[in-house]
Amino acid sequence: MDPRREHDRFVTRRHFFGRSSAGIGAAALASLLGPDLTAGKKTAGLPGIPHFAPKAKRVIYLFQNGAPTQVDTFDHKPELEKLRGTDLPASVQGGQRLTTMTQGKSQKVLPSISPFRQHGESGQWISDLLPHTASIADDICIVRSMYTEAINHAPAITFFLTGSEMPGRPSYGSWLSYGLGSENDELPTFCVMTSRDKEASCGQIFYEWYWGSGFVPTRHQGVKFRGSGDPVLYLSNPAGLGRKLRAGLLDDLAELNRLKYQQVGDPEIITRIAQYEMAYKMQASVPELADVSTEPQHVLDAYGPDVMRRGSFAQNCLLARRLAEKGVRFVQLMHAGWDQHGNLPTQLAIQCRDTDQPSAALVKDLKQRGLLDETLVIWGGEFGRTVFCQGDINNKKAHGRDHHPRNFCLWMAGGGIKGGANYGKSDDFSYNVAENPFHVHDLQATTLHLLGIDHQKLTYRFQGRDFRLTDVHGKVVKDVLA
Amino acid sequence: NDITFVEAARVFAERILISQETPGDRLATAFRMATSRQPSEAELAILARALERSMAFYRENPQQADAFRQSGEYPPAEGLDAVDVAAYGNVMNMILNTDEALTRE
Repeated sequence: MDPRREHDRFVTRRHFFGRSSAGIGAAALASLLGPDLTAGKKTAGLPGIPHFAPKAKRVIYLFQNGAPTQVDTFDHKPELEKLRGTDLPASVQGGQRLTTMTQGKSQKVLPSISPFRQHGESGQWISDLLPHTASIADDICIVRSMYTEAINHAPAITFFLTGSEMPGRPSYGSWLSYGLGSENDELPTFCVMTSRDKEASCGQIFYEWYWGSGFVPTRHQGVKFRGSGDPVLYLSNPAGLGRKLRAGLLDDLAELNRLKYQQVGDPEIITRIAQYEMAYKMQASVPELADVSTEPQHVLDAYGPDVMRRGSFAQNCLLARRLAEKGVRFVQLMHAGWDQHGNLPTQLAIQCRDTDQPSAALVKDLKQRGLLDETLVIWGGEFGRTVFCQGDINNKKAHGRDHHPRNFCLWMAGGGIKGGANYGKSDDFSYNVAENPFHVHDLQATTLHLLGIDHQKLTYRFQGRDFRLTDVHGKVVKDVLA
Repeated sequence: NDITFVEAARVFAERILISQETPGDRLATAFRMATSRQPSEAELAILARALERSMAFYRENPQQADAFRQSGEYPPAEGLDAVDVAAYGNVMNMILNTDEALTRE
């Protein structure tokens, strides 16, 4: 990068106003550079966005890292019981690529390890492993025809969250922060919390790029709240630094940085000024947010026994609701532990128990507060799992299911999604999509649509190309909309 | 707010207090050491204001100055006033946090 050219790009007045919809948001910049740096509650997004009236104002993404099995949770295939232990027909497998873990091994059909029942007025089929999710059957839309391109965790998660299997693109929350701006300048627009199963039974890593900002300005990056110590690293002032003095010195520092910005025009300086400002505000707003002891007992109880354990999925779900109440645009929860290659019969029930109640409680809690209509909740992983058994089908202590990108399930609720509905169908083996395929880019296009964004128009020019979350794909699936 | 960063600012301040005599020289030298250039007049004025702000705070809150002086593990320099160390330390922290000092371009 040539700094002089960067300078020219960013300080030409004509450039600012002429390219405002593709470059850094002129309105956002004006509000950051102006004297009332701290006055406004909202920071505008790009001009012209939303493109049309939104149904949802924000998103809570309950990302289930490791890939939940659809066979044992949402994709009911009772006929498979008759085929237990038989080879998966070659016509179904169709010569598709498998992971190296099951390539060339036998593929014996392993039906669901749990019975299914119909729930709610809508009669949705849900596994007994998810009794609490079953209680919100009429609020959710279950997609039973999800499919993706990737077959390993990190590329598949990156694909869901950034629209590309390769790291480096802006993540979903960054796009929303960039496009829609912020509704609360006391908290980050995009917050992230991670948790994992207590047994730490699989080795999934939360890579920072899952909430990275790629090439959009870095102030749109997700801020991760930690499960122990300071919720945000180094949020507390060290000994001997008073808050009042801090405020004054931060003003001075902003002024120094602004002088530099006027000289060199690097937009990352604006990001830095904004970040210091945000960090200062978070010193007050985050401890208040993280203090769940102010919640009434019945609310705490609803989220289940783990709610008071910091860093648990349950507490993160409760915090997600508190963030939604404060207008945070995108809350990304990530819970690892779904990768049951060799411990499905022993681990899946535990995994479901840790996530089922908090997820359902969040939807009910939002609904009870009148927030569900404007908050889109998404629950799902990066791919599904094979209907055939990995490992010895006769040894319940040591078998499971392998990665399966061809067909899996995901649910959404609120924010303009049709409740008590389902979309798409898999074949008799829960192996291939049989009806209404729903691609990852379709999910992105559809959910952006709910936020009032035409996914083809939210773009950012980088290295000579207009990039977007849905790359050059994606269609809005109207059938899942209320 | 990383304690190691605060400690660096504190020891930086001690070094500047010992090596330079006047407030102007101290601020200018510190700025040059962090950014490899002399500060402009406008920048120097901001630094002076920050120093004044910090001095006023620590004169009123000497116990805070003592606490600041103990930051980190590096032994505090002998013969320096805690208020001076804390006030300059805060300005050093600010200088080290400018975009120019943090970013290599």
